[in-house]
Amino acid sequence: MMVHVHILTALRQLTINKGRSLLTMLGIIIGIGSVIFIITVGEVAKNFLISQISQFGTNVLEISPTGELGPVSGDGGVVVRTSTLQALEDSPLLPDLEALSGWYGAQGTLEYNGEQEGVSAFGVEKEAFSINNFTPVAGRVLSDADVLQESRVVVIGTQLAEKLFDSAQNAVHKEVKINSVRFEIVGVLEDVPLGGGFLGETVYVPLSTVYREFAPSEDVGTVSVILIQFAQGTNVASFKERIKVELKRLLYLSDEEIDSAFFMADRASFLDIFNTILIGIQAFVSAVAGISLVVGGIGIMNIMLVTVKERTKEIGLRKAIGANNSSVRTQFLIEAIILTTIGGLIGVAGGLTLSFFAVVIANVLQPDWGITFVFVPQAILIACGVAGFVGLVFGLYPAFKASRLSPIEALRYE
Amino acid sequence: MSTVGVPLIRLEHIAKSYDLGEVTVHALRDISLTINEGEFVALMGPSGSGKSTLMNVLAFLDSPTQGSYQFSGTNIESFDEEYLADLRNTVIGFVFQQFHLLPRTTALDNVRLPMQYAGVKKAEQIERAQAAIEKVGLGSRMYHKPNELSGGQQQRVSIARALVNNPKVLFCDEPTGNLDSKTSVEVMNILSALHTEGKTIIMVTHEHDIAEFAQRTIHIKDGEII
Ligand SMILES: Nc1ncnc2c1ncn2[C@@H]1O[C@H](COP(=O)(O)OP(=O)(O)OP(=O)(O)O)[C@@H](O)[C@H]1O
Ligand SMILES: [Mg+2]
Repeated sequence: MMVHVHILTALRQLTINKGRSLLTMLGIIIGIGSVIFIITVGEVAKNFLISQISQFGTNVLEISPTGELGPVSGDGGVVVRTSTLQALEDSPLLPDLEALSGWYGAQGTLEYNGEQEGVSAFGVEKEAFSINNFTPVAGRVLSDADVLQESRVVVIGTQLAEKLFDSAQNAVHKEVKINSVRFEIVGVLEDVPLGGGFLGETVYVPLSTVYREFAPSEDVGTVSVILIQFAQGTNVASFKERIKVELKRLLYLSDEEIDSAFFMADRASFLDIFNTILIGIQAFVSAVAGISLVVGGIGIMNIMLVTVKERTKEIGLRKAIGANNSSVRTQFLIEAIILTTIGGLIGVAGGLTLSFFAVVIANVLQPDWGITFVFVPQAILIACGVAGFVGLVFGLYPAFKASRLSPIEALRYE
Repeated sequence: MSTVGVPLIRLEHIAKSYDLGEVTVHALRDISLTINEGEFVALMGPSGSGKSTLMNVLAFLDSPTQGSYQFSGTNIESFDEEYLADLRNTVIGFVFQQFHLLPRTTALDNVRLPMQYAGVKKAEQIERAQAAIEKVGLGSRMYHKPNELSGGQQQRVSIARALVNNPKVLFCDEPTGNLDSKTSVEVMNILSALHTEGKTIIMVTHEHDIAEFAQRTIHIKDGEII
């Protein structure tokens, strides 16, 4: 008998027992649905992260202290000074070093018209903007002149600008107070979701001004974060190694000390770390889903055995009028496969719907992030294939049992 | 398939017993018989005498425990399962006392069923099923489901199903057993007409007036021909 006839028969049979079919599929639906969900959401997060990182420029090495926010200092009171940075920039070992930016961070309160905002005020020089691809939406970024003159000027983010001044344009040339010191806003930056500080808004002031106004005297000339931009095509591992060699030499550190003092990562490696975590999560969810599929498969086998029992008379009749063993076997196998494939399709639809809503919710919570939904067609195809395969595996035994029934005994079955 | 001079059906010392552990039931003891092509034979006997068992053996639904069965000159022992299924599909038709129609399935689709196993194209299936249903006088009930048909109508659907692949032989196990006398006569008229057309018909019955439609009557008792 032609396969499409079996498919039609199977579909009709499933609609006769809609409720039961649905319950039977539940394990498959949940298993497939959760895999689709986690893969889709993971892919969405990965795409978002990639877009963020590439916005910053990926050829950047970030060196930060392993301890609290403060000067780059390790256990032995390691302190990185601007003079250390200058020495790195001049090092013959580092011809592929393109730009370097040292940051000194201070916590503060920004005040305008009686409104107060907690901010992280980072003292930077102009390289901080070029390395990070920070471009102003209004006004300008900091210049060498600002640093030289220790000007009291500040660059803020769009969100803060809109909050205090309604728009980025309005914010420019306004006067605000940071820790009671007057500053003029000279520029507004586009907000970069993952670029902000964790402690409220980040604002940028000339490094020299921060030293003068906010830093305790022993901190003057020290930096707490270093960004190093290296040439495209540089071997990152070798570059890191050479940076270490130079830092060891400049700071008189041993091998162990340098490793414990600094956290060093190029931005592309953040993606690697994220990928590793993502794969771990996906593997875990897939394993749980796998269990769900096996349990679901056993459910399918069970219901197919019930079906074969219930329809023993039908099987007898079919055999009496000419169905051979393989035809009966195919019929019930296809029924099991269709059952699990439909379950798989429902699971795919459910998983996609859930992940779509997750993206919608993420966009409601963080409207600026511009998170976009991504389809993972391979995952959908594989999920449907796996679902069908579960039907094949667990449908085999019931189908075999059905095919082996003797026609006359089956017809007589009560 | 038939060869001149060779009977369609030839049984030699056929026995069928059921081993139920403690006891062995001998449904058929020693049956030898010959049926030629084109005959209309009635099988009669008391309840439990083995009529249905014999029909099932004849129609390849059950296998004998002893003896030989030659169909058109070939011993059926040489046929494999697939070939027997083919024979049941295209060479013979079976009409059951309990009709055995698929529930929730229209008369038309029930009658199409044997053709699906024969690999007949859909358009032809419908055409031939309609013709068979009209032939048994149910043209107006094409799309009725079994539970929307009377017993006599259901039996006629099952005759249409048995006929639709144009078989040589029709096996009918008490085709009128569940019908009243008026509908029984209608069904028997259909069978008679089919016999006139040249079909070989083998029928089990309890009733003498039904057996009279046949040309020959074979009586069995306790699994033996008397
Ligand atoms: N599957 C079986 N297992 C055990 N015994 C069986 C089985 N099928 C039939 N028999 C026995 O074989 C004998 C013949 O049964 P069969 O059904 O052929 O009788 P029958 O002549 O058709 O009777 P009826 O007129 O009541 O239909 C009976 O004694 C019955 O109990
Ligand atoms: Mg009987």
